[in-house]
Amino acid sequence: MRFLLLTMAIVAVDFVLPFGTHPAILSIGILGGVIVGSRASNLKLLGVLLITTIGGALSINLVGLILALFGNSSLKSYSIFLHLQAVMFIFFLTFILTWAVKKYRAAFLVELGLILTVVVGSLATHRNLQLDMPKIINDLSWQLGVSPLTTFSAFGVIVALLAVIYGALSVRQFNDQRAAISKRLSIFGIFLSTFIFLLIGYLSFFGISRYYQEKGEAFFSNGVGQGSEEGLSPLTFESALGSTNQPAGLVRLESDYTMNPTSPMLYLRESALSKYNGKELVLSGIDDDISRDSPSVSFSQVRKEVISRSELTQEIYLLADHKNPFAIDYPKLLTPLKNPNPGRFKGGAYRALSFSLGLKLETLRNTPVGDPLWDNNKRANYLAAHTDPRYHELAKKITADSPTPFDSIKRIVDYLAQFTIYTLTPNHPASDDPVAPYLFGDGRGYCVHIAHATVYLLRAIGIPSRIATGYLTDLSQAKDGHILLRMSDRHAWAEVYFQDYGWIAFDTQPLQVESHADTEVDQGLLEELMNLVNPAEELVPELPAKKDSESTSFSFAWLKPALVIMFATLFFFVVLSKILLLKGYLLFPSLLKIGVFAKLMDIGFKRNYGETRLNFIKRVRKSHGSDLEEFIKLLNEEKYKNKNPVWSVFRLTFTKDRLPTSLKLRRIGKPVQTGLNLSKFETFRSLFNLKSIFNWWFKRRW
Amino acid sequence: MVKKVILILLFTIHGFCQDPFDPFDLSFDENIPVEDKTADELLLDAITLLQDERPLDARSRLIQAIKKDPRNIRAHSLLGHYYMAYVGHFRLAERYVEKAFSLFYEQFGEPPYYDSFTESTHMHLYNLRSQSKLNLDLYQEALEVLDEFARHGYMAAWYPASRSWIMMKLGNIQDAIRVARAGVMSGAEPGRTLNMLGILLSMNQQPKESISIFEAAIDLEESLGRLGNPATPLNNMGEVYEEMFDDKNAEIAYTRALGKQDGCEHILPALNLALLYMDQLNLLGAKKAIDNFEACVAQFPLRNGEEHRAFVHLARGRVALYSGDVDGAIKHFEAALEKKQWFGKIGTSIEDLQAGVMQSLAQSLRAKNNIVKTTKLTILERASEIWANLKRSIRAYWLEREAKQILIETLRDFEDLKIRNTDSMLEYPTLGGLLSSIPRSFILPRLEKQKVLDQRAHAQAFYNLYEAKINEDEALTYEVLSKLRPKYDELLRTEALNILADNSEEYRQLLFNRSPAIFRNHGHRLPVKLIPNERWTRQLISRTPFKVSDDSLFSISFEKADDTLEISFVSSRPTTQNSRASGQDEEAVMRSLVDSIFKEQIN
Repeated sequence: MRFLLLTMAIVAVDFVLPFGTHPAILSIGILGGVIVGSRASNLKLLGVLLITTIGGALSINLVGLILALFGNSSLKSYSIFLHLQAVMFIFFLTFILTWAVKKYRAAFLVELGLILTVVVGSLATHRNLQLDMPKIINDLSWQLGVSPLTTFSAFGVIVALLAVIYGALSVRQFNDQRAAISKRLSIFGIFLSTFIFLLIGYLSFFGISRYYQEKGEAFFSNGVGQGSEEGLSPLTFESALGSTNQPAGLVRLESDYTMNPTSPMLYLRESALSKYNGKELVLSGIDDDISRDSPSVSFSQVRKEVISRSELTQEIYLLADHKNPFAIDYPKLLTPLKNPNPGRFKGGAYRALSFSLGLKLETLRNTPVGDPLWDNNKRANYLAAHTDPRYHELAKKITADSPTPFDSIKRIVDYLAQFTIYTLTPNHPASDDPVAPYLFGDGRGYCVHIAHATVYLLRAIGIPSRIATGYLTDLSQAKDGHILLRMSDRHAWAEVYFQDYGWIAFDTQPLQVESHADTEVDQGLLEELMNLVNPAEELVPELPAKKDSESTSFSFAWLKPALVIMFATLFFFVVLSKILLLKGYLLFPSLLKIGVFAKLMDIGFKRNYGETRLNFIKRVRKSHGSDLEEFIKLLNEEKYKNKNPVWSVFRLTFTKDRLPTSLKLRRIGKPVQTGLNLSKFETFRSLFNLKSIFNWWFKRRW
Repeated sequence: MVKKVILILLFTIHGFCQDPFDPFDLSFDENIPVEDKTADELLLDAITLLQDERPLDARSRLIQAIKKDPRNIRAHSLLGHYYMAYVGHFRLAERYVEKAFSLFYEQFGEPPYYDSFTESTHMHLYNLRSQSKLNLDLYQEALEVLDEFARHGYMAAWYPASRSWIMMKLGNIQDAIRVARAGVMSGAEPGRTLNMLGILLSMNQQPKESISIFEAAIDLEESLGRLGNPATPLNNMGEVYEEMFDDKNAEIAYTRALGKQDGCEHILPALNLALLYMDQLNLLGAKKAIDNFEACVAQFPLRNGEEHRAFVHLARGRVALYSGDVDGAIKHFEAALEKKQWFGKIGTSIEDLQAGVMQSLAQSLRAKNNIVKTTKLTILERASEIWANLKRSIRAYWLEREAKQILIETLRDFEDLKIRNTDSMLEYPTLGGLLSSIPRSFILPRLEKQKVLDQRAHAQAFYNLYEAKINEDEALTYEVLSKLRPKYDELLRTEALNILADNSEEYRQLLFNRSPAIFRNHGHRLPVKLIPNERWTRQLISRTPFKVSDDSLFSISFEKADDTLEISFVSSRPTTQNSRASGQDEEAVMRSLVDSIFKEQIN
């Protein structure tokens, strides 16, 4: 069992931190370490240290010497030496740990701590919900089709439960005496504790994942959550540290956007916040260029007022649920698409035809802001300024003598870019105006603060503006017009309305960046998704499977069949073992002894350390009523005197001149079975207890 | 009258431009809806759009064309070409090419064909098929495609270069040379074939012949004007010069390559130049080479750039390491290690890059530990540094172990041990550090074998220095030092000086003069005279890269005026720059002085 656990730990660690030596080879070291460590439990600490240091040094040097002598000027022998070194290191580590656990009760705690440290250390990069590294979590989630958060929560719960079970099992080993007394209750206890464990696991798993998925949605999406309810804001001001690279969607551009004024950056608008409620900007019903329905509902609009825009078709495949659709600039038409892979694109798919802007922003220099066709209500909505006079004063100061609104906008954007710092952890105390500590305080904030500050300053000088939310992505990381959107790409930015041109993004990018969640797009994942949405899937047939040297990512495709084979094999051996323990003596007479002790074990009786067989059987008779004293005496007699001819059947020493085996066994076996005195319920219960099987496989002490 | 003449002239020019029969005018009317066009019209549109660098529009039209005419061979083959040349999605490209092939056989049956159009289409499909196999690293299959092509009795201009490339990939250099020579003689795609021949000759240890071939390739590409790609043969020529240790000509070749119109199509000329400058410890030159490359790439906003990011990080990391910014170097190397793409350099694999990055990252982690030892820290900082130090040491050991395993197991018994192996990304001047971590009984026989195999005179200096480092042999180090070239072997010189610096004050000072940052990275302490030599001044320089020595060429003087402390570092050597720092916080002033001395400003 120990060997299995440690091998599993090595395999798990190898995923995160490759050893450079195959885990199967390292497991040889583990096996050796466990065997030698168990056998050496009588050694004292000094002896163990001597064996480890001297034995280790000598063996490694000896191996090195032999390899060097026969190496023939090739470094291949050194490479073998490196692998052997790793195996020996693992051997001695396992040896010391096994010895310590056998020798000292507290050592298991050290070992448990060590295992947990390795696990927690390996996953430390996930702190603050950074779920994109190491790859194992993402890969596994991808294969299973669940979110990385779910996998991570499940993983944490499983590790915690395993740690508790491991701890409990290790404690039992030292408390056999005490445990034996309460053996009768153990079956119930096991069921109860398993149930409690599963319940705790279930509750903690759903508690953690639900908490983060519901409450923390904005938290791990750059502070920009989703929402369509009027009067509310999906933005959070506290922190965006949990920002994660979890894939959110795939955009496939059907045409080149050569006139993109913000190239290589691309803004995909999902929602707009234009109503000032006295504390922040919130969603209002006035922004009619935004779809408020779900992505599966069609949306169309005819906008005549916007010029310098060309049509751009995009197909958007949502990997995560979205409340509203998003698209480049003004979506003219949004139509649902046939989902090419509903298992993968859980949020659905749609096609967007956008009016995309195609001009240099400088050409807007002499263009008036706002729209004369707006009614008073609409104009007031986009001009509603913050009541704090400091915004007005600052805006005036920044834009003094600006010849045109365009210059004023540029000055405000430049001012904020120069004097503020981008950080995911502004750590400002809660306040009625969460923007003030950013703008008039330390200048530290992220897109939510920056966009708000830009709009407040713009409105203070009478420029109609709003906040747009959605995704900001880097087109230079796209491939074949396919853009992978991550949660970390979620963004909020300011927009200004120019007469005849419509809403245009003015995104402030601070020059000083303290922390950001930007990482490069996983090109392997992008390519995999490209294949899923490519029309080529319908147009050209798949080639017969062959070695694809491009594919380097780890695949879990083998996991399912491997697990099935593993469990089927395990099940087969368990059933076989059970049959052998129950009726195996008919074929192999020596199994009668094991079968008797196995049955006793399965109903809750196990011989303690130092307890003689006879005492054990007496104890069993006292508490259970089984009468096997004669049988044990016979066993002892055979073992210690080796004279009794009857006992020879147990040792497979019968010869032709003796009675047939079956006859003898029937003669002895039947009274033994009767002597056990098991009730029907006990017989039935013992059938499902696997304890004796594990004891037979791993311990072999009856 | 003049006005009339101008008008007539304008109308004439206009009329010429509007010539409906002009074969070079591929413009089309974008106002005609795609739905109203035939598959062939869409195909023509796509060709025009590809020429106009609008690949996505072209792709959409090709897909439309296939939807309209699912049996259109040309649309399939063009999409295959698009995915190969514009996207680098070779698996998908292969599918389109194979589909085009099956459509072709459906429509025209099995060869032979008796009209030139059908035959040339068939030949073109073979070209695409072999290219797709080659790009998928299926070399044997690619060769079989070419064999089949030849069995049909076909011959095409692309054939010799493709065949010799595949043969090179399969390790059959001699046959590859024969094929390329035959291709050159028959005038098949001369630019590509000459370039291929040059590479093959260089691999066959014929550097001089290789250079003359590259010169011919450069002349040819330059004669093509804007359509030529001279940067490729120039870069290859530079690499051959580098292998010959002709660094001057290598530098000229790379610089020329960068000046050509295709100079930033690939990172290699910039990277090679940067690494060459690193060997010279010309950090500013190296930085500028990479800066210029990135500025050039930025002109193409839609270029993915994925293929060069790891290289950029590697080069920037090495510049940072030798300019004293070890933290920056570690960040760059870690970013480079994250990248796992194929880089398009002939022979260079992911493993080559990984080994190079691991070598440099391990070096940086050790340098960081050395720097921490000579940095003043508070008790709390020191306590946390104990753990960090241990982690860095283990990581450095582990990275070196991984690098050694890659070099030995994946890269064929450390074939990169050959100095300046073109494929390798190892830093040869500092490779001794990695080699000395291999037990002598293993590495020395291999090194001896390499010395015998490699007949290049200057390469022996590297091997000897490795041996000196492994054996800690000072006599051999002196010998190597005397053979190093001025200007070109500066990084190697610092390695030699570092071996001697442990036991010699003079060499320690020499190392400091060459590179204060490298001096500090190795954890040395510079002897300085203290003025005044008092308890507080001695305390102030404790745990810094200085130690007190009354007969040193360097001195540090402390002056206190009011609350302000001024510390000056003065050298009696003209080559070393004097430094000064002042302020109220003594520790901060000292830190600032140390930074100004041991960090090189290369902006």
